[in-house]
Amino acid sequence: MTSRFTLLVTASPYSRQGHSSALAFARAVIECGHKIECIFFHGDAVYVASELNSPPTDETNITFEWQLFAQKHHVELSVCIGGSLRRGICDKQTAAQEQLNSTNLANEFTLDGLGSLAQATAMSDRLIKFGG
Amino acid sequence: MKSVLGIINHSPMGSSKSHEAIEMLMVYAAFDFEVSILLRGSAVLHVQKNQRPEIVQIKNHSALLAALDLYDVKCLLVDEVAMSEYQCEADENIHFKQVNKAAIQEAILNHTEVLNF
Repeated sequence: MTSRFTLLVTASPYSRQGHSSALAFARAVIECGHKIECIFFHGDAVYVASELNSPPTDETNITFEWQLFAQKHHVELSVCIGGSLRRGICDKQTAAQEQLNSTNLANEFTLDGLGSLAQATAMSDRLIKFGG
Repeated sequence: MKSVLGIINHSPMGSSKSHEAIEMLMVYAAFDFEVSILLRGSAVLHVQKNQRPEIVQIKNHSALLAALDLYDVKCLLVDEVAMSEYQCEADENIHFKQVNKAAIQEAILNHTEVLNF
């Protein structure tokens, strides 16, 4: 039986384990033939969506790993819009609205409201949170 | 009908974790989820009376919690052991229910989704 999952990630990308765990879980969900309804980044987890993240080359680039996963499996990476603006992550549309001079949202990530998390949860069999 | 129990473990001051968690839970309530909030550990300080968060440039969480009814949040539960440990004196404008270990276990079992913040 196929199950639908929503993943909620709240951990900061480079100081906590949450993103690596969420990515491993997401890969396992797909490998086992289940579906991912939504991957939602909230709180400090939104920092993963900055295209300016440049870890040393001998460390995992978790932003890039999420982008690869999203491209390969056609999964949307939703980033909380409120949390993002607080933390300086913005796309063209929000930059224009907030009169900001530049944008930094990485490809494959989309700014989204918390309502989309609630809707995805309603459509999923399981909501799994990766905090820290 | 899906329901969400949000367990908050963080103090109202010191980080934005609890504030952002409450924001999320209010949105779940707005989308017709049956939402309850449980305050554990230092999070019980959310109901402490006479707080002045403006001194450290933080929004007033007490006002947010006092308005939970307006956002259709079903109930606010507060761990009675932590209330006692933190010698918490409750703000009378915040409506909540003190709960023991058994009631916390029951709340966890009675919700379809449990989010630990």
